[in-house]
Amino acid sequence: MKSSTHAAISVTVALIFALTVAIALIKLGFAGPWVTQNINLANMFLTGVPVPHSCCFSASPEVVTSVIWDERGIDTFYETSVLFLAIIGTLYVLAGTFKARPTPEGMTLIVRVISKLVAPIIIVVSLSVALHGHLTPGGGFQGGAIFAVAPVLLLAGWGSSKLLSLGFERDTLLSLRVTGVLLIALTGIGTLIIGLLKGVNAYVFLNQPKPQAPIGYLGWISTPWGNIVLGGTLILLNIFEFLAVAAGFTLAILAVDSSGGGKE
Amino acid sequence: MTLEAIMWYYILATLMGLGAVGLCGMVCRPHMIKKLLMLTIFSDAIELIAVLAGYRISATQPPVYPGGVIQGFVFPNPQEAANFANSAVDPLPQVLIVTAIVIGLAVLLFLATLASQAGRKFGTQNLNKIEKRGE
Repeated sequence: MKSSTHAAISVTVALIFALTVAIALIKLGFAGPWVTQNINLANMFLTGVPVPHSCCFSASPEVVTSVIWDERGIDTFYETSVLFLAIIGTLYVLAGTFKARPTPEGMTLIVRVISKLVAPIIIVVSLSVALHGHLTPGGGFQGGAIFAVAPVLLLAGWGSSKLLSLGFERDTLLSLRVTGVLLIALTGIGTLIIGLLKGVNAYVFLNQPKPQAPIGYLGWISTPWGNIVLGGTLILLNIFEFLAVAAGFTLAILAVDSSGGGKE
Repeated sequence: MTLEAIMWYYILATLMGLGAVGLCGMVCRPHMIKKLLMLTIFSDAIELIAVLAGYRISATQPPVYPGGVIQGFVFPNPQEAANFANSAVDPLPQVLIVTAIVIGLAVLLFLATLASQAGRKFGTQNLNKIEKRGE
């Protein structure tokens, strides 16, 4: 096929795409500068998630994280599983080529020192984003993705032998990854097990007690100085997701780095 | 038409253009890595359009209830929550695109691995050259 045919096809596809988006957003009244009210489902979550004794109370002011881990927790668990399977698939495709490469040439002292200084700061920021995921924008996945930048920096400046010497071994990372996913699943079915033992009704990925299910996780700690919000399952799932995603991305970056690039 | 409305249409047009560029690049460019770059540009454009769909002109804050975190968090009563819902943007598109980003990263990771292995096997990642080699 000639490149002009390619161009014609792609321009047509792009035009159809742009028109579809415009019609879907504007013509159907779905979005636009005239919209002044949220849709009813959004209002239900906005008025329900932070309010005790409401239909969808999550013991957290952060509506996005609450919806991700509480209202659609099973969906997020499977999404984590997709990432897990992608990393397993990557390792399978790269089987046998996973090895440490020597330090890349051409990296000056400036790059090395700066990457060494910036990497711990990135890790602290990622921990903050992950651990405050139930209070501020962010969460386990975002924190894990930020964390993975630090190994990339070290990889660029020092090569993968440096990462291996810091303890970023393939088997360690893979075990951390599996542990994270398993702990997410255990947190999800924890209420179900307790409900079975106590003989009361319970749901999978249940966070706070519901009218039909009277058990739940610890949502907040009351102190004389005010409430310390934990968000029930939210803080646990954020930590486990951080563990899983950080280990998974580091592993993937190590695998892709060791397989390709450079002249061999 | 107010300035906000003009800006809204401007951003929408920019994002649609970005998506169109991504689609064009995915079809036209023969190099695998360029296809992957265009794929990420396309998916980012789609995700930003979803965020834009959740935005409305009268909204003034993100979907995080501002509950006095320093003094210890105080959960709102229904009236306060209703006021909050009137001024917050729609959280659902943001929820959906977090999922989309994770799945997109998983797909990108796997495709990058396949591209790297193809480069290993064929010595090139240019699809035109690989096709010619097969003839």
